[in-house]
Amino acid sequence: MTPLVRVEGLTKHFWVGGGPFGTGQSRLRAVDDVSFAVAPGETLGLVGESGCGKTTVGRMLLRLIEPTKGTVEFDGEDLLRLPPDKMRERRRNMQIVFQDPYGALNPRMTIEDIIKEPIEIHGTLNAKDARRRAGELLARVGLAHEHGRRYPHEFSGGQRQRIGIARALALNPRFIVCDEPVSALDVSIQAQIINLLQDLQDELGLTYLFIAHDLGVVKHISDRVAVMYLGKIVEIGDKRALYSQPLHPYTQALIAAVPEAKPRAERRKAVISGEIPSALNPPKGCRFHTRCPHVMPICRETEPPVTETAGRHLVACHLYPAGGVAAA
Amino acid sequence: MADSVAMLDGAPQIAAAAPGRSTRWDVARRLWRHRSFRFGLGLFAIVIAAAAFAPWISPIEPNKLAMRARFLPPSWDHLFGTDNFGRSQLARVVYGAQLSLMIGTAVVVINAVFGALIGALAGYFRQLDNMVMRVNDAVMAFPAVLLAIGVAAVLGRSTPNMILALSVVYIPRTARIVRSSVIVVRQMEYVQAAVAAGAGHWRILRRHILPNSMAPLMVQLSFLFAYAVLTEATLSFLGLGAEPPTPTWGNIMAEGRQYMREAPWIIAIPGAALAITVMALNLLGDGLRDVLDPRLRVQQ
Repeated sequence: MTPLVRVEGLTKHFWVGGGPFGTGQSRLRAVDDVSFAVAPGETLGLVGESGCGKTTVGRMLLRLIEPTKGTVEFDGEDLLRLPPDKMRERRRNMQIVFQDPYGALNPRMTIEDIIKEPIEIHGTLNAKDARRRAGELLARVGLAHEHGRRYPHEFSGGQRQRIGIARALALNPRFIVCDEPVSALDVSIQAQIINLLQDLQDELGLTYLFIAHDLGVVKHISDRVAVMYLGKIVEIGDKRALYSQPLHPYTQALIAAVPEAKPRAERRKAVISGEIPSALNPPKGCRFHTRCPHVMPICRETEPPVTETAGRHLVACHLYPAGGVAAA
Repeated sequence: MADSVAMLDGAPQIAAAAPGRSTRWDVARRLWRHRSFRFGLGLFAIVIAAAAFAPWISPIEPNKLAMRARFLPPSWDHLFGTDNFGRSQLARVVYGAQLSLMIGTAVVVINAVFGALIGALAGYFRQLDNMVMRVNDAVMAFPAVLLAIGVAAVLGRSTPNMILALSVVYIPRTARIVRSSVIVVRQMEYVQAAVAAGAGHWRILRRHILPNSMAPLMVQLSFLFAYAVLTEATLSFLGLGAEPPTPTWGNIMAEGRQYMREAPWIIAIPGAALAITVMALNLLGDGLRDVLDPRLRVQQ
C-alpha cells in the first residue's frame, strides 16, 4: 500500500547559545536522519525519552518547525517544497493534538470559537453551518452543545483534551499527529481519551502518528512502533514483533521497564544506567554505546546501519549485521 | 520628581497572563475587592471631577489678575489662597489639572497603540527583534527626563510637542514590556494550533497573541499615566511646558518657588495635587497588577 505520510532523512539542527551576533553557537542535533512511513488508516507509535526529538519530528511533519534537511511527503506530495499559500491549503488534511491540555486552548476564546477557528480560516462552511458543526463535534467527543459558550478554564484536563480533539477534527483531516495526548492526564482519564481516539479512527478512517514516552500506552493504540534515541530511530517494527522480540538493547530496556500488574511474574532484567547524553555533542558511532550493556568496539567507531530483519522490522544496531538475523 | 521616574527604566519582565484567566466580570469583581485599587480609583475620580468641573468649582478665571488681593493665604473666600498676581490658586490648580490629565491621556493612548505595535512585531517576528530592540535600547539609554527635555527643547513649547516628547521617551519602555509577554505567548500551544490550522500572521497576532499579552500592558499604562503627569510637571517647572500664563502644575510651582517663605501655599498646593494624582495612579496600577498579573505580587 502506498504510504500516506513518508519521511526521508528528516533532520533538525538547532543553533543554541552564543554571542549577540551568532558567534560561538553550538549545534543541537535534535533530530538526525529520521525516515519512516505511515500507511493510511494505520497508527504509528513513536516512543523515546524526554528530549530524544520525538516532538520535533511530529512538529516537522506539519511544518510547525522547518526541517534542516530531508523530505516530508504527504499523499505523494513533498510538503517542504510547497509555497506558503499551498501549504496553508494542505493543512486541512493534517492536524495535531497537543500534550498540555492547559496550554493548547486560548484562554480568551469560547470553546465554540476555538473549534470554529479552523473552519473560519479555510472558509469551508458559512457562519451558521460552522456553529452547527462545532456543536456536532462537541457531541462527538463526548461534550454537550451548551459547553460551546464556556471558556477553557471551566473544564478539566480530560475535557480540554476532548476539546483539542474536536478542534483537530474540524476540517475532516486524514492524518493527526497526537503529541503525547494523554501524558498530562490522570490514568483513569487516559483510557477514555485513548478509546475516543480509537473510535474516531475506526469511524473516520484516520491515520495517526502517536507520540508518547510510555510504552504501555503506545502498545494499546499502535499498529507499528518506532523507538527513538537521541535524535535517531533505533528500531521500528510491527507492534507484536517489537514487544515480543525487541531487537535493539535500548528497546529491550524500555520494555523491561514497563510496570506490570503481575508483581511476581518473572521478568528479564535489562537495566540501563546513566543519563541520556547531550544532543549538543552526541557520542561517536552508535549513539547508545555509552549506556549499552552489549557494547562492542565497533559501536564506538561506526554508526550502525539500518538492517531489515523479518517482516519490515528494522533495527540500527551492530548486534544484527545486515542479512544475518533474518530468523532472530 | 525625577527620581521616581527612574523606576520605569528597570521595567519588570512581566510574564504573560496565566492560562485559566477568568472572565471580564470576575476580574472587575476582584478589582473592586482590592482595597488600594478602590482607594486609588476614588482619588483619581476626584482629580478627574476637579478637572472636568473646573468652571463650576471655580467661577473665577484662572488668569484674572487682582493686584489688591496678592499673596492671600487660604481662606473661605480664596480656598487655596492667591498668588503673586492675586490670581485664584483654586482656579489655577483645577485648570492645570485639565492640562495634566489631557497630556497624560494622550501619552497613554499613543503608547498603547505604538508601544503595543512595536513590541508585538518585535516579539512575534524574531528577525525584526534585534534591530528594533537595539534602537529601543539606544533611546532607553538616556534618562527619561533628560531625553524629554532635549526633545521638548528641540521641538519648541506647545502642548502637542510636549505629548510627542513624552511619547518618544516612553514608547520604547512600553514596547519592551509588550515584547516580553508576546515572546511568552507566541510559544503557547494554542498559537501552534492556529498555525497548524492554517492561520496567517495577522490572525494569530490579533486573536491569539495580543489578547493574551494585554495584562502587563494594562498595568504598565496605569503607571505610565503617572509618569507622564510627573514628567510633564517637571518640564513645565523647568520652563519647557505650556507658556505662562496658561496654568500648569509645573509652572505654578516654578513661579511660587520665589515666594516659598512668604506664601508657601503657592507651591504646596499644586505639589499636593501632583502627589495625590501620582499616588492614585500608582495604587490603581498596584491593584491591576495584583489582579491581572498575580505572579508579580510582592509578598507582604
